[in-house]
Amino acid sequence: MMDRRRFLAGLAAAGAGTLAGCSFNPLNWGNAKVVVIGGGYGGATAAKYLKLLDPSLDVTLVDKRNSHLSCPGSNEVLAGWRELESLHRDFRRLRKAYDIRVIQAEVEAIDGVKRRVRLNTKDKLEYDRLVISPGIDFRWKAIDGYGRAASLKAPHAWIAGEQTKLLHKQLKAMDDGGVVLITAPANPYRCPPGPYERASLIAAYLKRYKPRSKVIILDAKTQFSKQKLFLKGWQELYPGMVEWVSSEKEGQIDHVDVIRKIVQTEFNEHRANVLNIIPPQRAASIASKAGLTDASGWCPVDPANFASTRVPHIHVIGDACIATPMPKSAFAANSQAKVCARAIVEDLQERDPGPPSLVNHCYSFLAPDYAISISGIYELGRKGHELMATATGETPLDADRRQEARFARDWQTNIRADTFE
Amino acid sequence: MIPPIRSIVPGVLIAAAIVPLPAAAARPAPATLALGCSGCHGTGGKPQGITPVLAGKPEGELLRSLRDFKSGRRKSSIMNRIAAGYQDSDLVELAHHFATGGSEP
Repeated sequence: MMDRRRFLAGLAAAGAGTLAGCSFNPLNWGNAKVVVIGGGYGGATAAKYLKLLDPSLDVTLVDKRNSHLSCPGSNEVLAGWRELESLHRDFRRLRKAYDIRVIQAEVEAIDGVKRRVRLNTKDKLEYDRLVISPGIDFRWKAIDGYGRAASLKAPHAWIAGEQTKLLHKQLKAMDDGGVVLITAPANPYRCPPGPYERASLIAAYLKRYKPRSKVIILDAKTQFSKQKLFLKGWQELYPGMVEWVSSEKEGQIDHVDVIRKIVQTEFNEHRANVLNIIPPQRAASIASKAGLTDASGWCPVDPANFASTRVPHIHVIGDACIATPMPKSAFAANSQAKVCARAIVEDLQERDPGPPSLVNHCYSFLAPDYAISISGIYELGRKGHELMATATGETPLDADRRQEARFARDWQTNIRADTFE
Repeated sequence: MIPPIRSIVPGVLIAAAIVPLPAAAARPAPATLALGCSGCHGTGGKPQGITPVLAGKPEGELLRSLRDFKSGRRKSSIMNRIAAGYQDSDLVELAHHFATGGSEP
């Protein structure tokens, strides 16, 4: 755990001066109340950093479960290298080391006028600021034949949990020589390189146990994240086993039959032995219920502090918010959470937090000792209400993939600690 | 940030004083910049594993590394593309932040 005093001393030494900070709220005659909804990489980080930056804040974290199940790492479960249980991130450290009140409950309603959150336990939480990091929901009507019930036959496995286990079970049950068909959605969606990492790790499993099998990715896009690096890696590691099919060639999906395991595109019929449909997505439904989404289904925000442009005193971070050109990733959510937390602390003390600085850096494994990464550094653009990348890049084509894999493992440990510990 | 004017030619000084310069956009606060590092380098610049520790490193060493990553003089599969996204003044602030604040010696 980071020693709070030392962390603050560090900030004070750097001129941030929050040592004397105490967010006194004149309306309530008490410390300012911040409620955080969602205990994933966005919400947990926000709760932790709010308390690190101002221990006097009254911070409550609400999540429907008593721990978070990490999506980063979940493709490794499919490869058979990792148990799903190892991806649980509990909130004990947040509770004990940072004095955050953690409530396990479903959010039933958010009243943006009265600044109140109603839980399914009938409890009501009042807030001065609300941070919501709700993650994604699926657009169940977007693909004909693929709804919630269909996902129990052909899993999406795009929110880690039972779906990940189901896909893993189906892969294990498949005969050698089978076809694993993954459909990848159009942008924007959670974890842009995720479908391709998944194809790689399924190929790693098949190469070892069912070498005559194949992975096909039917893509709604004509290009994808880290494309050159993935294509090179597939050629080196799994020659002839992974096939990527651009929408240029196939058109979009017309319909899916999960019983017969068939995907019909505009031009062809594809038969699979294991079918993994990654459907189009939107911000989790609590965001639209609270009036935080626009016509795109995602939440527009001011990138300086991630304040909703729709409802005052609410901040939206993580996959649910529109932070273009940042991707929807755990790393981005963690980075947004910290900028948001600092902006809230500064704002409550009537200080200007200054412009934001954000980072994304995402690893993908292609094999246990072979990883690649993509990164971006972001700040406010010239108009002042949008983000721009000041640098982006990928693992150089000639770089050491073993070293990238070591850094990727380190990152899993360090982001876990930075978010939940 | 205004670069130091070392010129001893008065004419140049006068010119610099009367020609309006475009207002430099405000940079993120050092504490904001530093938050970006912790996603890999750990809260307060104290990571686990082989990722380099930033907290308490000598300022000169940190700044030299960051500048060399940005210029490409020092090769890294990751840090070249990260450092490229920051201005030199940001790197100065980051080196100072982690050298003086991130940890006890």
